[in-house]
Amino acid sequence: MTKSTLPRKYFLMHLIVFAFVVGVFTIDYITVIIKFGEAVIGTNSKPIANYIRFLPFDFFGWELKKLIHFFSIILNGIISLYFSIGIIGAFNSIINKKYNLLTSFFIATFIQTILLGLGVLIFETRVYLYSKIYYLLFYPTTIFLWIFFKDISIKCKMVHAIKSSAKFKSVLLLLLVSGVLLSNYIMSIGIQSTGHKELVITPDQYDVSIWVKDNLQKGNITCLGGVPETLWFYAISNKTAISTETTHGFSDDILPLKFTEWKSSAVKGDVVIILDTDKVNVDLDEFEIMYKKEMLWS
Amino acid sequence: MLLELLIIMIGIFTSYLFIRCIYPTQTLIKLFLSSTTIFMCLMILIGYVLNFFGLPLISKNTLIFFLLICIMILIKNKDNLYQKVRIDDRYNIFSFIFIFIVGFISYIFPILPSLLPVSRNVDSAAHFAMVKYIVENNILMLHNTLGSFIVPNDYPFGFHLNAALISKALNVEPIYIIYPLAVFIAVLTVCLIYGIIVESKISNRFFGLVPAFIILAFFLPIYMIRVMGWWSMAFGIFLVISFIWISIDYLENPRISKLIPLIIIEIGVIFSYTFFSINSTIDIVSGNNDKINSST
Repeated sequence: MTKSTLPRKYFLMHLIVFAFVVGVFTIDYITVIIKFGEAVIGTNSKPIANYIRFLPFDFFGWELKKLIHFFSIILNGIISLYFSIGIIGAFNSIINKKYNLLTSFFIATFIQTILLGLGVLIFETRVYLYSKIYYLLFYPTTIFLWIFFKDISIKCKMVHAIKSSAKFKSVLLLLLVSGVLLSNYIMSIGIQSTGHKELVITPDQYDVSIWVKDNLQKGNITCLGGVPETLWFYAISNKTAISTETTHGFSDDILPLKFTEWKSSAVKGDVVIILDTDKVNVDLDEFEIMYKKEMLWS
Repeated sequence: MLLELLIIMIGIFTSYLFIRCIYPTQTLIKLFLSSTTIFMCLMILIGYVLNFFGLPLISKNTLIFFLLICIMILIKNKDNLYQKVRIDDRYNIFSFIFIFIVGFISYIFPILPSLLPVSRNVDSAAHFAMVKYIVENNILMLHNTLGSFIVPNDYPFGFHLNAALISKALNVEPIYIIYPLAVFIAVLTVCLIYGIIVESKISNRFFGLVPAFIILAFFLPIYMIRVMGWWSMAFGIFLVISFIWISIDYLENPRISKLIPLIIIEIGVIFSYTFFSINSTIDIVSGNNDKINSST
């Protein structure tokens, strides 16, 4: 690790920025964990997934998640650590005047995270989008994580030994490739264990979807196969998306009403997808808050 | 079908010339990846303009736009085109191909042989409807209001427009296009990460594979495209990471002309995943400042 040659005032400036970033980040995590704890002990009846939407939680179904609270906390800790190491990596880069672009990318993403985090905490909005910034953050974090380990290995004088070992390289390559394949496999197992079908639109479901393209005249809709009793539908009519509200429990009163509304105003060129939710076992629970609180996009 | 194929070919050629003129020192792989990004972003930009004036999106107008850009580049700045293209060394080429093949096979495997999208989420159906709408009607879902001129009021259309173009060019139902396209984009993003690592000399070429494979093996891209059907988001991330890689050239030798491709990508991000656009703006500004600070 090279010695810092950064002028003191810039170093202090970066330090203040990072203290702020790390501080807010930590507070944010504590808040999330507290909310998570509330959900676990039952003082908060809202689903955990609405607060924390980190990657691994959604691999398993809702029922399974109820059983693995403790496991979820551990996972949350691991991911916190992952991002924290990323912060150290970024901090390290700034001190060493290296990787300015990546560092700024990281800072930029963090600033967004903070703004969104504050928005979530103060105004209780857009939990859904807040989570998405983490997905973007994942990319620079991984690079910084690697830099961090590289610096450690240089310190421990391990680099030369590792670099010169062909056997080590072969094993590492094998592990990397098998890791990609394995994670795909685990994903399939995780989804299947919940009882969800992995495919939303399979050839069967494609057939039961109601296509109106060639059967649509103004105000006169011919539905192929008839309207299912329980339906999810997404229509684009006159440049506007109309969708069923995917609430927790289907209300037979609401869904046909929306559908009827669309039918009465349908014009040629509308695209509509209708899925029979009895046949298509899509996961609607976790989108309850998202669809209730906000539009699909705003 | 022929028109759409022509649009793709001329569009990619135009983007190639464009990148060659502005960044003549780029290596072959970076040139290819940058051209792909610029083509998709130019398509978005042209699509937006045509839609704003009520003209059909994928039509002769699109082709004319690309041809005009192509001619302008050739007239304005053709000197750089005579320079020899730098070919990446064998190791880099092998690494890029290796990442791409492993990623593509492992991600595409679950949808074989049907090529229908996998996800447990209704988002995949919604995105499919948006692509289908463009294919059928040749217009965007945007309402031409004042707000949509600045930031799209409606769902950003970048991914859908490009998917619709490919669907039309291959004359295949968009339902069979969207997932392979999302996989292609997700895997290219990982290739971009490898490119950033190698070019920034963060790691040597072999060990640069490790973070790339961590991203591939970790849940994120699989989660985004396979579980949730967040294809627009995957596309947005692709553009942001591409922005980072291209901006390395800019930060090494800042010139105003070098900002043009970055601005085009930024517009692409705005119309693909508006949410991420702030990020890349802060990134280039603070990145530039950091460089200035370092040199003082």
